[in-house]
Amino acid sequence: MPTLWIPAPLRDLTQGKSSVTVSGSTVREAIENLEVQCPGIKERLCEGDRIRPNISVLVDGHVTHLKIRERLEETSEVHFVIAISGG
Amino acid sequence: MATLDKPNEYKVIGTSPLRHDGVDKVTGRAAYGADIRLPGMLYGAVLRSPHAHARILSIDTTKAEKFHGVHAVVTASDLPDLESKVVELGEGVVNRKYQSNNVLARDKVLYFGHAIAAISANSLNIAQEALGLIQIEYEVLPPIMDVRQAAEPNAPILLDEVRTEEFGKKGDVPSNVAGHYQDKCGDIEKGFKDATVIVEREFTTTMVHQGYIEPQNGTAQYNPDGQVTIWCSTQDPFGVRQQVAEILEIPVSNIRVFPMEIGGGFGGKIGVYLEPLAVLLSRKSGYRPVKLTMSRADVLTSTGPTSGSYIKLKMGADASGKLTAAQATLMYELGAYPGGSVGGGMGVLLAPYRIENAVIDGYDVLVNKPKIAAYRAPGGTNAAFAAETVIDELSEKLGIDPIEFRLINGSKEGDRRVDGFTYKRIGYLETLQAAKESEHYRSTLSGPHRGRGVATGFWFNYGGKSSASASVNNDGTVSLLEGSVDIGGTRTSLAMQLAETLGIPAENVRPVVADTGSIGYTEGTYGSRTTFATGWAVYETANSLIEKLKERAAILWEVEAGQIQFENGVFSSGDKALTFKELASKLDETGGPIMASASVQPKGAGPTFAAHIVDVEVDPDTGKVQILRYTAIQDAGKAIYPAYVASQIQGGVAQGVGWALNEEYLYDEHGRLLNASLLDYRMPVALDLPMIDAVIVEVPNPGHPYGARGVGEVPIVPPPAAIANAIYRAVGVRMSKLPMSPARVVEAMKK
Repeated sequence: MPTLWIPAPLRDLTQGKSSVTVSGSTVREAIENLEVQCPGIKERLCEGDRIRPNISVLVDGHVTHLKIRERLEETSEVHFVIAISGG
Repeated sequence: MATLDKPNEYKVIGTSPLRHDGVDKVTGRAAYGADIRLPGMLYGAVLRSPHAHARILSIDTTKAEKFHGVHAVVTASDLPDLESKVVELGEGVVNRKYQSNNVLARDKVLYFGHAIAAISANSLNIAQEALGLIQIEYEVLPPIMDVRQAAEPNAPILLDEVRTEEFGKKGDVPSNVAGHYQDKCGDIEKGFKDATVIVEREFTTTMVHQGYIEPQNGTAQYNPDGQVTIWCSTQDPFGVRQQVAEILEIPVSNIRVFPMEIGGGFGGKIGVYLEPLAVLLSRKSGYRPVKLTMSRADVLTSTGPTSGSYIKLKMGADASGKLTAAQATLMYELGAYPGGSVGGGMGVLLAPYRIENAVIDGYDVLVNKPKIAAYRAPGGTNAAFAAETVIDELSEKLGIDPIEFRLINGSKEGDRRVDGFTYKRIGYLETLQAAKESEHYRSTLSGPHRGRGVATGFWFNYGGKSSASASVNNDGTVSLLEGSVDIGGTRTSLAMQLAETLGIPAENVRPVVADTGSIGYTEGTYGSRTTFATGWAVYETANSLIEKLKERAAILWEVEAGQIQFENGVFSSGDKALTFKELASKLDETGGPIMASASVQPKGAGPTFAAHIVDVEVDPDTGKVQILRYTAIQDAGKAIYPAYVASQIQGGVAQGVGWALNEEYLYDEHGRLLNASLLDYRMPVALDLPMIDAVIVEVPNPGHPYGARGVGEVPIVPPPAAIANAIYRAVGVRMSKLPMSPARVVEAMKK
């Protein structure tokens, strides 16, 4: 199952866990399944039906522009980080 | 310049052909924004705030409007009053309300130089004279200029609606702290218990400017049918289109942006300042074109510098030299509006190192200074100044060579960062090894008050969206249209990738930077992305051309396209063969013109590392620091055009040296900028710098067809730390404030 890495400010919702393994074939499904385990976390990551605009989603180390629609493999690692801009 | 690694396996890539824009640039024919002259064109000027923090009680433009030769006056009342809404813009996000308020202040001015009104007139002199007729009543408020004071709970508030945001949760009370972020791994207490040596230091840096040589400019033509044309100096023409559309509530399809040649940007020409004003003024001036240009003072007071900062960093290592723990607090200035770079600083701080126990807290803080903009590896230089001097001190206390200490702890493929994700193929260790083996590092430095410093740096690099299109000419050349503004030679680095793929000389490609109406969406030239991402678009375009040309060869030889081979620029089938040029000459008889295009959004922009070595001599009486020798080693993936890579490295180092030794925004007690000219804002000149030796390490990026990594940003990351470490070895003082100006060095030596 994919592993979702939990940003430090959200770990009060995951009993301190820095990563949680959940099922899901897309980032959306994984977040929804994470919400079942850790109520309240979806609202922190999403604004309505999309990832909050200032949060970047990385799947297997790469920024994904599909964000919530990105497909996941069984071994995928998902990170949520603050969007960083270059010059 | 030197390139380390195996012999070049390519014919075009890795060589240095004549740059396609070279003759135009050196003969003055290249057209910049200030060169625009249109029939009936008017000239604009902008009124800027004399206060750092004030409420605008009233604005009376009556006298200015009646002034002879004035055509229009605009204030924030001419702009849509936008609601707060964060929208994605390329690599980052912007709040369109704040962007609008930064273009023209609505109810409050938040920094010295904040634009309040703009005028169009028959001449610049008339426009400037009429500015003095605008009457504004202010309620002056106390300015907040220090990042730590601004973060205090009882500090005067810049924006009443701002609450501290923490990953989707907003605070309850107004605050100048717009954002708090945290990265955390392992057990920090255990990490420090395991340490044999602990170093804890505090660092401060001041705002510095990108310092591009060409000031901002923007000319706009608003047509009666609602169509808008903009000519400007920008890194991001599609971004200008989107921002103007958002701020003025005009459909993007009504706006066409022509990017002119650009005299530098470094991140400072992504946001808009003048373009919406030129559009507004054109509309209000009977649809005549209006041109606005900034003075150097305008650039310094009113366009995005990069954040000043306060950083507290504690790091520990065991007796073997292994890092055991790191704890950091980073507070970065936002300037007047949210949207900052502390995230970049957090990501750079410990990026080069494997470290199991760490906590990094980052804060974005509003202060009464210009809204910050990106500047080469935004946030990274401040962070590396702190981390790389503490690393140097730890290695010294443990008696380990500073490069060896970094090799002990250096990140490699598969290592997990503090923010959680793991590195793919990276070249940090190779870069360090090249530094260790360099003639510079192995040489002896002798003489009084001389010292050698080392520091390293990291930048993420970015991919993003890019488009390209190409058409084959019957003389065997290829016309290439691409959407990336050429700041650092990307016309040529892109043409070379097309040429390599097609098996033709780079000189046979005619690259053109297209306007937003002529090419598919392309993100700006930022994030060290153009050679990588637009390179991908060019590569895909070339492959598409090859497939189409195979079909033409098949028609010519009356075989199936699948029977055509293509290798080294030659199409063949059995004993028949035609070069690219020969086949191009037969397009008319095989079906007419051929063109291809591609739009991409590639993943895999591999990050880049750098290691810098610097020798300095410090005058013990004056504190002046002279750079004696500088070597910058950097992983470029595969250097497409090595001389350009070296230029990027040298440019980044030069800016980093300025940041390290002299550049700073100086404000008086009222928040007024005291050094808004290049006489007083001291950027380095040729006499301040030796020849900077660039050493290119090539650890190919598996995410790019030719292995390219972005190279433009990381070279500005290590210089202040490298110079601080050199100063320490020269005169025995650890510098913790930037710039390390003569006065600061003397002050530190007296302690």
